[in-house]
Amino acid sequence: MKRTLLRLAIIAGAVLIMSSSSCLDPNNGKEPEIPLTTIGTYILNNGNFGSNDANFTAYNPYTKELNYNIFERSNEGRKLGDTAQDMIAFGSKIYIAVYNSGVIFVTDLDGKVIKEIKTKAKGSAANLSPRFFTTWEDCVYVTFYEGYAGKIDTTSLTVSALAKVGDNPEQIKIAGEKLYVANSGGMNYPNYGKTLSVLNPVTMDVMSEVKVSDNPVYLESDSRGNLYVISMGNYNDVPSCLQIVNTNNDSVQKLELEGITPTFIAKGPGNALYLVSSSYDANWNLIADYYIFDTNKKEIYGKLIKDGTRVENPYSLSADTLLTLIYIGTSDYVTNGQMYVIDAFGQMYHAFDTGGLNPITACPVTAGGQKDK
Amino acid sequence: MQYSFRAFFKAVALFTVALSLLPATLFAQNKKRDTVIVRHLEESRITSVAKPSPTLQSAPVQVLDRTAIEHLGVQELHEAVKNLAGVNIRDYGGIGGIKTVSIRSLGAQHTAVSYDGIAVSDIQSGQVDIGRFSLDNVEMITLSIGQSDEIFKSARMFASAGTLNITSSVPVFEECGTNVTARMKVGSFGTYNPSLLLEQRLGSRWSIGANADWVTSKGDYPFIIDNGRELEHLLRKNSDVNTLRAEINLWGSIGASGKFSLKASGLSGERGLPGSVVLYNQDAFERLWDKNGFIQASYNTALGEKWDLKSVLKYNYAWSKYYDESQRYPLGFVEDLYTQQEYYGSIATRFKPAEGVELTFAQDLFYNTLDASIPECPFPERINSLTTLAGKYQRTSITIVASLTNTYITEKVQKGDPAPDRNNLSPALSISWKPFKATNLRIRASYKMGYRAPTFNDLYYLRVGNTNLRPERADQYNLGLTWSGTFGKEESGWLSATLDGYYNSVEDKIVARPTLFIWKMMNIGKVQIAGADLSVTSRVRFGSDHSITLSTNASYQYAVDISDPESKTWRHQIPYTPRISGAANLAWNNPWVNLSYIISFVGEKYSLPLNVERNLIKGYAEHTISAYRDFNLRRVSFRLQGEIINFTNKMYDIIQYYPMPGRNFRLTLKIKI
Repeated sequence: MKRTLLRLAIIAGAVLIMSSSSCLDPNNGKEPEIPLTTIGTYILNNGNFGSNDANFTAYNPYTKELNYNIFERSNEGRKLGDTAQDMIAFGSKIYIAVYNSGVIFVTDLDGKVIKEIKTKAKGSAANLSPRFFTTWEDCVYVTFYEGYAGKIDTTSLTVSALAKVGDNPEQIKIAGEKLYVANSGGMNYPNYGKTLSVLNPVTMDVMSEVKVSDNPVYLESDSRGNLYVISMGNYNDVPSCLQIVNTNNDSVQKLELEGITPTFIAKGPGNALYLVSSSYDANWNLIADYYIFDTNKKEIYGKLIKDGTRVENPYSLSADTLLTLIYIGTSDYVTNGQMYVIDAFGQMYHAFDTGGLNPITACPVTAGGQKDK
Repeated sequence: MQYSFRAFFKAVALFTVALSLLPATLFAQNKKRDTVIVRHLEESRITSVAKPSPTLQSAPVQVLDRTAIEHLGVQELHEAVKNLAGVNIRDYGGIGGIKTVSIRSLGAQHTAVSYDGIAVSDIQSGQVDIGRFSLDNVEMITLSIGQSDEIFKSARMFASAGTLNITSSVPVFEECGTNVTARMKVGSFGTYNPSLLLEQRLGSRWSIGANADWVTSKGDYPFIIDNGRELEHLLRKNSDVNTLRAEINLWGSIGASGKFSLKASGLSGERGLPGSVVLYNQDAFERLWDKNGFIQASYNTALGEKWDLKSVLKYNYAWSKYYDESQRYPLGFVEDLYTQQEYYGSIATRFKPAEGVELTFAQDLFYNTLDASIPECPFPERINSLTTLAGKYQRTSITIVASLTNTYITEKVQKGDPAPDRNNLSPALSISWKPFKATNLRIRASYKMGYRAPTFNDLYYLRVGNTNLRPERADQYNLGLTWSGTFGKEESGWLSATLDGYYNSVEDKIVARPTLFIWKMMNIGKVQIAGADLSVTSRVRFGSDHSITLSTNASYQYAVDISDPESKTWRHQIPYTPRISGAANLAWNNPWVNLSYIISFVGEKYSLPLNVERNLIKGYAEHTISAYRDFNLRRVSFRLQGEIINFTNKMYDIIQYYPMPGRNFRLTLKIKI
């Protein structure tokens, strides 16, 4: 059960090799290339703040098989820690940002710990609290809530460069060969942050700042080098909004989307961008809806869910662009989260118990494609 | 579940052994009396309040007088209270850890705490931290559940579901008109607590007393975290305490029957808040400063043969500062200041038209304000008027008590909308009946419709507050049996036992309703509570110098969430409420060294509304042993007392991830002149 992902990888790889070797050698003697594909998905549960109950679950999207508490099972009962914020797979390794425990775990594909990365800023004894990851070329980038963006060297597994950005950075993404960080200023409520920091991803120098709407949190890039920013507003008179940043000149355009209060965003295949819209009615009930945004036409293409499935209390949104599966994590903050998986046709593919509280991301693990470290 | 039963059976086994020590001629019921006679008074004590009898009262009352407190060997209020039946204490650990009292799963906001008859309040959070009260100058602790038979009191004391009353000592002078008592306490983890009490007689009608004490503690106790294969051994950090308390009291008699007392009290303290244990992260920099002061005056007098009057005036000031340091805050730190003020007045009158009949009327008025430096604080002000009409009919074999309390609340704010005015009428009725002449068996039944108004935090806290909140309703029903009697030759032993079954229902319970961005306080909770409390106390004298006291109590609480039948927590036990809990005490008084052994055990409970394995907090039993001896040297009396608290070094949490100290020691020397 522990080695599910690796076993799956071998099977998938074997199937693909067999199918490709049926042709006359198209690679002129070179090794046949295994197409990039998902071998499994980890569902990360944030847990309750202060309860030390973050964990992750292995999900096989082909067989719909679930395996819970992977971290404890791969590490002799050791727990993941408190409030896991993000997870990313890169170069046959998994990186997990455990925010409140102040540690980044680097594990193998089965979740067994290879390294614990604890980062300190100059002149401070406290460990920095990691938030979100992104990758580019052969590097992994991470934000720290104390106001830093870091570059992780994937060979030595240390944070090789640390740049000071704005207050309480959340997501970090590459767009137009530049590194953008959303400075939410969330701990300074009601005076939220209003900027993105723009960095050189190689040198980690902060080049400039881009002014956006209050409380920028979520970032996503499209294939044209545009950056999409969701600013959450101040939960009072400034509502949340979706903005596009043209990375050539860093100009910002707020998108007017009728009747939509954007909350979460995830990149899909091609021109697709998935959106969750949520707002409160007069009795403090949450109303949620799901859309597909076309990044070519820069408008809403239509609703995401087409078979009438109702998904309430969304907590997160992720997508597997290879399999075109959209993961909507939901939470009631009391019981285990529920994950709703929607397929490319807008039909509900599968709904399952995530094995922990507050499912914050679905992290597809891939194999094949270009040779990676 | 198995562990808690094991602890329970250990306690029962201990008592079986203890009971076999008692002489064979037991339990010959005394036919004539139905009052409890206390035979072991070492010193005469004058108290301002008569000691209530647990078996005569028509609603459950538990009393610990000075003698009982000394026999228990406890020094802090929470240590005494946790040994009472039907009580849940939430303790965040260490000397500085906040400790609140909830009675029969209703929640700490339904418990009123009073100090010499006058309520201690916190209108911001609605909960009183009892960790700051020591037992040094306390004469009596009374825990009343539902309505108490003492109806001549302020209206505020009628308004809560349960009350914890602390009565302080009134000085007793021998020929010399001056008493000096000095104490020095030393404890584990760098704990020092010197204190001084001075009492002076002023003429034949007045006396004055002043006391001060200082507590300082490092609080770095060891604890264990279980993380998979390894056990991590850590020390609690940022758990220090430094508090200075001082009090002045003035007592006097005026006229034929007038009694006047004035109390001024102040507290200034600083403590570290160690916070919950976070895996892989030992950073803890939160700190809390408190400055509290109050002045209260009371005047009681008789107005003619059948009328009595009690009046009280009080002013309370509470300032606290919360500080946290972390680079997560844009400024590197956060500092919040809170100031609460209360002006309180109460008048109560009693009319005794005939033998065994009492009618009382009480009117309280109080005004509360809150200033907070957090963003968007609306600076609320509240005027609260409480009016109570009560009556009691008491004969030898029957007692009936009825009361009706009206509450009127009006508020004002400087920003936004205030909560609407509220009016509430709460009745209560209780009966105690002795059906047979031959035995002291009594049956009691009581009903109380209780409620609690939302606190300032519930209504106005940034984003979370909701001014549309209704008050919480808590209805209590109790049915019980009590028995007391003496036995043995010359009535050398007595035994008192109470068994109560109860049903409480809480509606419109105010809970934070979690949603994606904003958690809002809402009236969505509904709780059903059924339980039983058993309490047995016995004291036996051997000769003139020896006595053994046994007391035990056990509680069963079934307290479940019935807010929503579709919910996953439907009929799950509510958080931090064990099904089984109890305590047992065995004390031996003798001329050499007085010994006391206490076991307090708490069964399994859940930290969150969902009753699943990951939210389970294991049950535990804590054992404490204490010993003391009195010496006399001419006119100076000494007492040397030592305790080993939690001597089995049990590692446990009351609140999940807030570990409690393991084995620790305390030594006290008291000198009285």
